[in-house]
Amino acid sequence: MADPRPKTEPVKAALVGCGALAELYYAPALRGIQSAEPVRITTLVDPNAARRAVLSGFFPDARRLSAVDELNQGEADFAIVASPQKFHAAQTISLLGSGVHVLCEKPMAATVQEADAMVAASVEHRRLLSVGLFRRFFPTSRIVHELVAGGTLGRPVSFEWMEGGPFNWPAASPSFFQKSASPGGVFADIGTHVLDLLLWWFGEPESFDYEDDALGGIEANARLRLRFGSGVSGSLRLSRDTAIPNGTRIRFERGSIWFQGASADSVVVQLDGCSHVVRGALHSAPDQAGGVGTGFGASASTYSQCFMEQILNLCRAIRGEEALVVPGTAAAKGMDLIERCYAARRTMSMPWLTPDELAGIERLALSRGTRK
Amino acid sequence: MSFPKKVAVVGANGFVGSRIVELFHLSGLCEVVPVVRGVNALPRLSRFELPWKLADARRPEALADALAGCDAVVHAVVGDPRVIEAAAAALVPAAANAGIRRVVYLSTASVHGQNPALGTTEDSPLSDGQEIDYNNAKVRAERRLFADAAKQSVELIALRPSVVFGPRDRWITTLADELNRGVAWLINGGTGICNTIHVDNLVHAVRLSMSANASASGQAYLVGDHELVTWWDFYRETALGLGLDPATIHQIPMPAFPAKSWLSKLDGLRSSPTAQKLIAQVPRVLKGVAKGAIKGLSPAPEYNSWYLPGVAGPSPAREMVLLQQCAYRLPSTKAERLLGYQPPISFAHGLKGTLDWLKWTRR
Repeated sequence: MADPRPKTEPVKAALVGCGALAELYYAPALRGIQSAEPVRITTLVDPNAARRAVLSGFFPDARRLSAVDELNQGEADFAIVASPQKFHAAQTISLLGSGVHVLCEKPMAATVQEADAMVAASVEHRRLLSVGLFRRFFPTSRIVHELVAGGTLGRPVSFEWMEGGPFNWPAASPSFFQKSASPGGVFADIGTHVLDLLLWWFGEPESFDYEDDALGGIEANARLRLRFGSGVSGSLRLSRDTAIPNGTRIRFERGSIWFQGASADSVVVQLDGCSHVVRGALHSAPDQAGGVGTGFGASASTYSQCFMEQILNLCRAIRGEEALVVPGTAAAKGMDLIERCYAARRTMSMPWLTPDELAGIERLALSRGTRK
Repeated sequence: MSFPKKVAVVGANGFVGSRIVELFHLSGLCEVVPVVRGVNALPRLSRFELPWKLADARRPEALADALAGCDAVVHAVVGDPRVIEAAAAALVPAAANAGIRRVVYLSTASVHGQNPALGTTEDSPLSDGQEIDYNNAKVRAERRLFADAAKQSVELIALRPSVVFGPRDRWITTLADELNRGVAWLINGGTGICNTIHVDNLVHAVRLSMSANASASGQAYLVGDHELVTWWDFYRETALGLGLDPATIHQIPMPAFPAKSWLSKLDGLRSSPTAQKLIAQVPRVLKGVAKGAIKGLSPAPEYNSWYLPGVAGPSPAREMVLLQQCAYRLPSTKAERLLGYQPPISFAHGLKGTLDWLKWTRR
């Protein structure tokens, strides 16, 4: 799978999907990594010419195509698939089949079946499939993983995770909110990130209980209670409807760590028995040679830098220099849990609804069945 | 008039608009078509399988397209004074183009000011020279709407609620936050009248307005809860509902506000339609220079490290001070007489549901 080409030769990349995500995240990220990795964007793919034109402002030399099957052999070493979710599987499988490595945006597919087919295509064509669950690159995520694995604060006991608020993503298309185009709402969107981390940290869940507020459409609020085989249990609350407290607390036997879900590089650490907590920005550990005068190393990666690191990771993995941090197989596990949660979903209790409305919910549920 | 079969809700993503959609749809009252400006406004609405439309409520052609096929429209757009006036100017022409006769506009009791004179009714003269820009925009919006409706044979009903509260309301979220932090405050011992209306009572008034006789149209209606609620009642019951001690609410003397600075007056002036037309003619570079000059006139705060960490105290805002001085209960008698309005939700029940919602967001 490794490509032995020297690093001095630019890696060629195609950007598939020219929506808000490509414009606001991938385009600046691809520019930002140039000093570390001279990636050349050869191709922009989107059926919408206006959106292609917007992205060509970043990459004026890139060829503009309306579909991935118009790519020439050898035109791209890897592709970033940032199109609406319903296109991920078909585009990714097509690209892998053409010998192109893929970084697919999350959620990686609309169904587990699709995700499995993507992984199978990756194996069959011996091409890498990475998924854009870039919170794995967050220093906060890494430090939790190290604490769980290393036992510095004792065994993990429980977690509480609340994240969300009024939706403010400048989506260019309504597909985010169409049941026909998105398998779910906030749970499939933010929940994908969170479940990926929880599975990474704590292993396979033993049991779960999931509820959301979808009433014929897709959910804006979701709540999940999880118990892992390791004994860790906790709850996840997500919203893209209204302001909720934002914070994640993971309790260990001898202390806890707190951070905001989307915060890459700052935490609060509480050591049991201490009167104060430590709140601050993460840095790398100090170089021992620096002596007592050096308390800490370089600043830890920021949110944007972590986003760039996932692209660098794929480039290095293509050259065989490192392993993929989020391979398709890992992302498929999270998809599987999300799909099982949706299949077992209950409607949240909504205490403000009138008896007429509650009767209406019954009526709607009877007429439409339970959403999968 | 029978209840319309298909109702468009413009501004369907806001606190009131989204509750209208939710209640009308789940109760099976009618087909509901939510209309919002952009896809960002869809999360709350996409919980339902509804044929939502995207349209800028300030553009009559776009709005008319979104309203096509509907029998009635409720206008619940929120925004700054410019948006309020522009959206009001577009509403009646759009409804007329779409063949809609019944239009319900969510105005506000603030057209009479935050502290209305004793004896105020819907017939009291309105001024667009008030201290609060929002009030002035709503006065001008109503005037425009009634004038347009008279010309276009559109049956317009404007509802004037005052303090609307309920689930998803930022008002209650802010109050709960202030109570939790111990910085909630009242003036005059909280004896001022808080002209509350629970959002479901307002939705009920919208519902009645949809099917009211044509003779009830062309008019504005004040609407409120059944009970007389003082600010102390409101704050006390909220504190108790959250398990907090009402004694922590600060009783503060009447704050003195400095006269409006010339900068804030300039800001108010800037939002007037005439000023907007003139500003549009000014080159962008010149605008940047003017903004920079104005910013440069604001004094920079001096840094001082010599202080002890203090206890945060009340921070009274001008609009809230005006509201808390209200000595008059706005009457719903006209709505009762002509629309048959009787609020179905008691204040106590409505507040409990609201606080239950607040707790729901925190677990």
